[in-house]
Amino acid sequence: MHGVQLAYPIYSIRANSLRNAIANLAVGGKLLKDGKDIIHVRALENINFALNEGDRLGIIGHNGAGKTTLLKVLAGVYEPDKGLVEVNGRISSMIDIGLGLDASLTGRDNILVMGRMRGISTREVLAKFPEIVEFSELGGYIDLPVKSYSAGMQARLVFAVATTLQPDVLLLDEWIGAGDASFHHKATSRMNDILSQSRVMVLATHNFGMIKDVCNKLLVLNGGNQDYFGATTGWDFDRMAAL
Amino acid sequence: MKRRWSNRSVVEGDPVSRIDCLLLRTNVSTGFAKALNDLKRGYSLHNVWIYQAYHEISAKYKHTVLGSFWIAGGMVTTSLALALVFGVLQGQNLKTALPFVMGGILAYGLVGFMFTDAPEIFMGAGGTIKNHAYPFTYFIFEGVTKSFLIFLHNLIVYFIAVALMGAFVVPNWTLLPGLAIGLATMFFWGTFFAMMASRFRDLRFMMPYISQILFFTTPIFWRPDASLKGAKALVINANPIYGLVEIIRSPLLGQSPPKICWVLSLAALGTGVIAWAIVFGAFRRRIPFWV
Repeated sequence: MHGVQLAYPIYSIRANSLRNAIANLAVGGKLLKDGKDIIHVRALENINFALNEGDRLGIIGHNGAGKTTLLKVLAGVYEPDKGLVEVNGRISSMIDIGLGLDASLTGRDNILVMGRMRGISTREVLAKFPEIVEFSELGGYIDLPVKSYSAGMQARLVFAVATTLQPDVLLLDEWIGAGDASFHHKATSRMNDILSQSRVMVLATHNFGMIKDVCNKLLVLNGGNQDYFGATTGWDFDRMAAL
Repeated sequence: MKRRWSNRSVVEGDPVSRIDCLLLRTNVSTGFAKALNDLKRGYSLHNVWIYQAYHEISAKYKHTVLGSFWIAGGMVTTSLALALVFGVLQGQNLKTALPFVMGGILAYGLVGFMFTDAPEIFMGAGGTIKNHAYPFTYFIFEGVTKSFLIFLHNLIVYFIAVALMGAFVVPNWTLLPGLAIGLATMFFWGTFFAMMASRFRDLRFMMPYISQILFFTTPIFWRPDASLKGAKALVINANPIYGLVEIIRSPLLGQSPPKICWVLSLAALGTGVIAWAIVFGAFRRRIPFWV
């Protein structure tokens, strides 16, 4: 990432209505031109970093610092206003659990859909099926509709799919804390497994312990600005906790 | 390893060469080029959206007894009602009126996708759009495919009904280019309306009403009268929907469509491509913020 900048437009209810947009034009379009109706939030400012194969990046910052936004820019969901984002490899993003999940389909069907949407052929997905089901520990639930799953089960399913289907770049948001302790343990060892296969992982979390365990590089965000990027060891976590 | 989702390089400032990255960089520097890239990626997922479209339609009717018969139910009822009331009241033979009306409704059901289904596409997929960088064209392709599959389904019912009336005619070959133009127009204008409706939410509710108005002002269940002059004739001669509907209906009735219909349809398609190139090219990156 080089010089990445992103501003969110937020449309007030008035701007969303075409009726008001037309009425505003009649009045000279003042409201919209003043920007009073569209508020821009500068979510990310001048983010610069580069990751190599095998890197595990932890992103920390206060709530609202821009962690999820940064993950979404990496995933390609948001394209920045300025700057260059370059990602080589297949991206597997788990920024919001339950997304990509169709609640009315069974777990089995969802695995197939998620695989296909990631560009993997049905045959490949079916080949990996047992592995996914076994990792998710869903057992018989795999054939029930996803709407009957708890949040933790959905998280396990998405995590199992995303990590089994050979992601090159894995993006994880703080939800990983939603699982129980045994899931944490499993997830950590699975993440270490993946990373031993020389891939890249980016994890946004408040859990400093997990970062120290898993990540080798750290990015600190503060109100959209990049405070620090470098080795995990170079940052004083207590300073963060004290704030 | 196939790379389908990867390499989303975005350059909107100074390009910088990355020394430590290995593979191809899609060097897209204009909105239009990105739009084309999106189109290419969306198209490459054709296996996915065809399957998904089929799956979503059939899933809706899974727990019903009569199943997918219900897809055609609406078309059959409306056609019968209109044909009986207007066709017979106007003194026409049901044998000619029903295929005409049914064909019109069938074609309008397909083309009307732009007004009824398209506005909902991005909003319905909002969760997915905000979390995964799928090409936006994927959703449009899926929507068009869904409409087309429903059309095919209803087409079978149409042929059954027409055969039962003893009015079966082998369709004219112009059905194929007619369908091709119709589907392409649905794609381009569909994307346009999908984007507009996400940004200006009133459009989401307005478009179905516009669709209703067009249903009445277009010769779908009434026959175009050649003797209309002046402004009244514009309703037929300047109505692109008439063109799009007729290039599908006429072949079904075994005839070649009137020339004006080709002109109108191609104009609709042409303006659609231009509108798509401009709007989708310029604003596609804003879609995740709008939904």
